[in-house]
Amino acid sequence: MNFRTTFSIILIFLGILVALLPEQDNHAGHLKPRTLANFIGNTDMFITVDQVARMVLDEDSTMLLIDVRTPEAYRNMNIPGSVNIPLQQILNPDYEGYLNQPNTKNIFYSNGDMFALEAWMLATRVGYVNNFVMGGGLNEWYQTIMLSEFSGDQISPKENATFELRYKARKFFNQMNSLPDSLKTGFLLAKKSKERELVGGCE
Amino acid sequence: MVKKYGFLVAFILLVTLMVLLRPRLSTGYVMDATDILNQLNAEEIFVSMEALDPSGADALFVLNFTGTVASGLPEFQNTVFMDRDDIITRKVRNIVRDTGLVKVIVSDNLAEAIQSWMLIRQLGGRPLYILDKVNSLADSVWRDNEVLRYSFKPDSTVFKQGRNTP
Amino acid sequence: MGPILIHSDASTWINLLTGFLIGIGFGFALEQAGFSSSRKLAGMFYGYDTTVLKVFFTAAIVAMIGSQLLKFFGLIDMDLVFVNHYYPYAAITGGVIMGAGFVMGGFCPGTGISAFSIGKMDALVFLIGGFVGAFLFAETFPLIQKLYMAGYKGPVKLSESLGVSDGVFIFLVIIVALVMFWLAEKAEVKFKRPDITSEL
Repeated sequence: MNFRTTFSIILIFLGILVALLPEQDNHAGHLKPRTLANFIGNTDMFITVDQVARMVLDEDSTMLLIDVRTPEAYRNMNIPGSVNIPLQQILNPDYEGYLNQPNTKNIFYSNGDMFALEAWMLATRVGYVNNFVMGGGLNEWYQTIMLSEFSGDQISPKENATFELRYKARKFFNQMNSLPDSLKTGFLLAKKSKERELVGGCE
Repeated sequence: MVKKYGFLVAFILLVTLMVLLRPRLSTGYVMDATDILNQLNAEEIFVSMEALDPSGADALFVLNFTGTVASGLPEFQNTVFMDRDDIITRKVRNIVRDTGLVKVIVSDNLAEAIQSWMLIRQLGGRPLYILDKVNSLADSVWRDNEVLRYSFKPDSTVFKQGRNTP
Repeated sequence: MGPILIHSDASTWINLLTGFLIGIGFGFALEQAGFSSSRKLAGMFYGYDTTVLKVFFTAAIVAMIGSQLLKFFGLIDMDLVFVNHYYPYAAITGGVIMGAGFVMGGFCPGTGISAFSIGKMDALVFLIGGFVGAFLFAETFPLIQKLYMAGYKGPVKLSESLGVSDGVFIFLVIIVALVMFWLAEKAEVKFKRPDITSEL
């Protein structure tokens, strides 16, 4: 067999091999299972509702609140300043601009913990960084912020500060969620962060 | 010819071998990220104590994260105590990939349970469930974790206050 | 190094250094394949020397197979690979002009530089002509802008427009390449020019 035949056979063989490779998602940059396993039971990823309330009132731009519930639930009531990425859309490339940012914290929340945790696991697996979960979700938010009351005779400065914060957050929440829909959307759309751009070529 | 092109042919054969054996050898994921996302809707994650049958012990495999036998849990024959580092060991991986065994995760922490469920599921473990937790205080169970317990009533006076609302 | 070094944030200078080293390798490969010889390059048009076809097709096939295998093993992020934007009319016009220049001058920009690096004066003139052309393009850009932007289709991959997967497309390219190599061999015999040496 001369060189040409050998070369052709090798090339065709490689071509068949490549053609038969299974279709799979681009999994470059995905975390390995061992790395993902290290996160289990690690509570650093939880953020309390008080911390979220403070960040919302301060209009903290280093964080992005992500509501992973359905759009109907989001329209009904949401934490002001959050964006809605339903859980089923979390891997949609259109939303990658929100999530794949190295400098902002992605804080997922839902009614409880479950959907937010699932979103967190998926976002962490595909390699996004700085993912957090608001512990307890909206149920906890209601319990702590909306229904918080002080009882007792004396109040320490620290407790005072906490209740002050919660009261302000409650007011803000009520105001924003009571707006008619037209005004709400304007406020929400303004928050979209800059998408990561593909660098290269002559463009 | 073999001498001249031996290396090239050997290299190509090696690459082919790697491609073919990769799924079998890998300790990596069996499911793509989009696959597991679709499975989240399709599968029932939680199972209650009543649905478990300890006498059919061969079919159940309890992966117990709490470290001790939880009170109220009947003795299961096939119980494995593990923490998160054990998930990727070969022994657990063989258990996990055996589709004849029903695997149940027992934990006292919802976050740990959900994260483990997702990781083990992505490594190919099915059928896989989480034992539902009954909270003694309120009768809320993990299954209803995502049910919103409060309803929001919009304050209609807000808009009337005028245009100075943010 | 965007597609490959995704796990470590290599600093900018390492990226530039890698680009520099790859460039050196590319120039070396061009020169030792004999592409500093304008006779070899023009031979592709006249048919007596089809080395250009073989080298570039082989390079493309190696790159395609390599990137698909690396993607399979998760070492490369194919979403980061830049796909050229497709302007049909501009591409055709530019291709015709460049093709004419290639045959007449006996060089294309990359091989012109590698020929210049071994001291050929006609390569120098060719490169100067290239700069003049670029300058004229920039100066007359408002006049040709319409043609330049016409029919924009975005970053289109050939496998997408044919509706096949990347792997199948690579297999088709390999088949086409082998057929073309075979035809090229035949053409070399037919259009043989013994008076043109393959020396520089």
